[in-house]
Amino acid sequence: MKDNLENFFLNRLKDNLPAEAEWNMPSDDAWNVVNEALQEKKSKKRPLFFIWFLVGMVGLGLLYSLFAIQNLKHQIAVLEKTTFIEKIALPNNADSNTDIISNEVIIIEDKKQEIQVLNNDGEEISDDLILVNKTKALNNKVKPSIESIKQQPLNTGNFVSAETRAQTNNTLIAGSFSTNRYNKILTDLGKKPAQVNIETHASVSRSNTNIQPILSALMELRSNVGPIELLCPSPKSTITSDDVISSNKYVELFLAPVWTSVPTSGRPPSEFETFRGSDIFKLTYAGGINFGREILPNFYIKSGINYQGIKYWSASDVSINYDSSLEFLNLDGEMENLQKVVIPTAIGTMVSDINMVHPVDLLIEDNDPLEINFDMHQQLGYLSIPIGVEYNIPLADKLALNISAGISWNHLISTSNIIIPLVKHNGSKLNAKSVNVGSLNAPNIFNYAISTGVDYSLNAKFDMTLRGTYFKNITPLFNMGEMTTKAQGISLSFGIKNKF
Amino acid sequence: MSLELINKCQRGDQKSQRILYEQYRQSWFMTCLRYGSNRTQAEDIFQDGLMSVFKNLKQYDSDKSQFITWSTKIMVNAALQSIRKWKKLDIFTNSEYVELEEAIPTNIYDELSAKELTNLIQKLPDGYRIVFNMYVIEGFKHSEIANILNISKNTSKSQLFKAKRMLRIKLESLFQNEYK
Repeated sequence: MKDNLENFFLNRLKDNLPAEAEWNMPSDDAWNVVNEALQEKKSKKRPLFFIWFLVGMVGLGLLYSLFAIQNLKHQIAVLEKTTFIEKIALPNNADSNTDIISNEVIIIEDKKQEIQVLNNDGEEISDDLILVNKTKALNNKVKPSIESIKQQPLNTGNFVSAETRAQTNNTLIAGSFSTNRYNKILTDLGKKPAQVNIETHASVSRSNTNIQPILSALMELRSNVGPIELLCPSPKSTITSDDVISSNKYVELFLAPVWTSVPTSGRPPSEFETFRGSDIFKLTYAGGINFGREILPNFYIKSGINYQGIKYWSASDVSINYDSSLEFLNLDGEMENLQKVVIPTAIGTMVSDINMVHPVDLLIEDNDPLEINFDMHQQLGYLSIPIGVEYNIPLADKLALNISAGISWNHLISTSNIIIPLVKHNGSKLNAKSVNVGSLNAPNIFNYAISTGVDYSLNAKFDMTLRGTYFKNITPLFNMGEMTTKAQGISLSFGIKNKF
Repeated sequence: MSLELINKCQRGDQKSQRILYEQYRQSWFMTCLRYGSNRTQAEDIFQDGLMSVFKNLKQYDSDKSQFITWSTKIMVNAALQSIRKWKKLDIFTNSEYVELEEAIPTNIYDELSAKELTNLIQKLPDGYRIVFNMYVIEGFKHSEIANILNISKNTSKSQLFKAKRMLRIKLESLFQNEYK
């Protein structure tokens, strides 16, 4: 029970007292410091949002790609212009009776899923396409054959065959002309093999995209190609272009699980003697967008903006002396102490407060040595700008082997540290945890990467990609004396490539 | 104080944090004033306590205690930490408790303001001041104080007794000077 004096003080001091600035109101200094610290803590969380934002964007990109594939057939393709390129005159033999249509203009319009092919007289010639498809089926090949494609030195762009274009009928274009020519031959079954004069060729661009390569093609039919041979299961003619619609640029979205580690090499300096890097690979992720441009046939240069995660485990042993001036009794009646400790890590030293709790009957004197073993799980998030080259080797009709190599510049955008201290005093374990972990100042780094994988063609515009990649730091994450730490990793990425 | 405000603060809403601070700063600071031996110390304790309150806000459970009780405990803890930090030596003289019946003071001190009373408390030695505050104002029992401060129950009682005796002397001296 409280006596009068106690009640007197209690009543006077517990009452709501009027605020007096000079006495019982604190200055705003403390709030300013605390508020700043709170905001700083909040802003440190932003990189995490950035990562999720990036992942979201990649996801949306993939969804968009799938959507775009579904809607590819609805694209409207318009033949914009026709250019006379070359006239090739092949000698007719006496029995040939080939209709020659000179300077023929064909306009193809894709109205939703229906394809309408018109010649310059406005007559619909869609049947021609069907005939080509029949030819394809008979030959049991995905593409009808073409004898050869001759590149025109004066033209830039990709040279494609007419009937190949017709075969990919939802994207047209120049091929429709040749298809027409085929039709003339195929429908001429009663005649002997003809020698054909071809003197026109189409040069087109598609207005529904930003792609402006002038496509030019010159198809040269063999002099003895006739309808019978074309309908044979194994025609003599062979395909010379694998790119049905040849695209020289692409954009690729990818997402990849990555396994990384940060081993050390070289002799460590004294303060890092007890630091242990590790070859153990830890799982994290990467993703981003890459752009490629063909600079030689099947040979691309590429770059992009990626997120690259590096996760690793390391350990170190640190000895400190107990500072009893920092200890206090907590509300649970245990002795608590908060001491700053410098910890060697794979990317330099870090400072962390170590909160240690022990029973009051475990006497720890001032300056008593403590042994701390740190178990560290760290994750670095880098904004990565790669640049590299890529080579595609066609393996089958829809499959290509992809080999690429390059370097990347990487800037640290996020860090995450889980530090688990094991503190011992004369063999007795103290309850300890790491709090207020300091920031890491990792330098920008350069990586090299090599990868290989396959591209599977979904259609003329989209490929699905699968890549295995190995990367390693060129410049180290950290070096001191002779010791360096370099991150390495392997990844398996899945992506969608849009060619244009 | 609405639970919604606390929830917003727990989610890191800056504006709500400011409102919470405005609402409780006087009460918190009064606690700090009583535990510190001067205003400067009180400001230091206040800053540490304020940081602890906002850092630990996510752990606050409205079902277990009122916010003012919870936050005042944090302030007291911050005060104890700070005093321990400043005074390396043991602040409690381990003396035997002597039960003494005291004369009950009269109400002659009613004229004294809270500010003057706080100043009197501030002038007490650290050990007296801490135990007096914990027992009289915060309402801890001697057994709890003994546990928290790692002292014996008798030491706690003794410190309280001495604190009160000193306060009485100071009060009488103050009264004599002021109202003679």
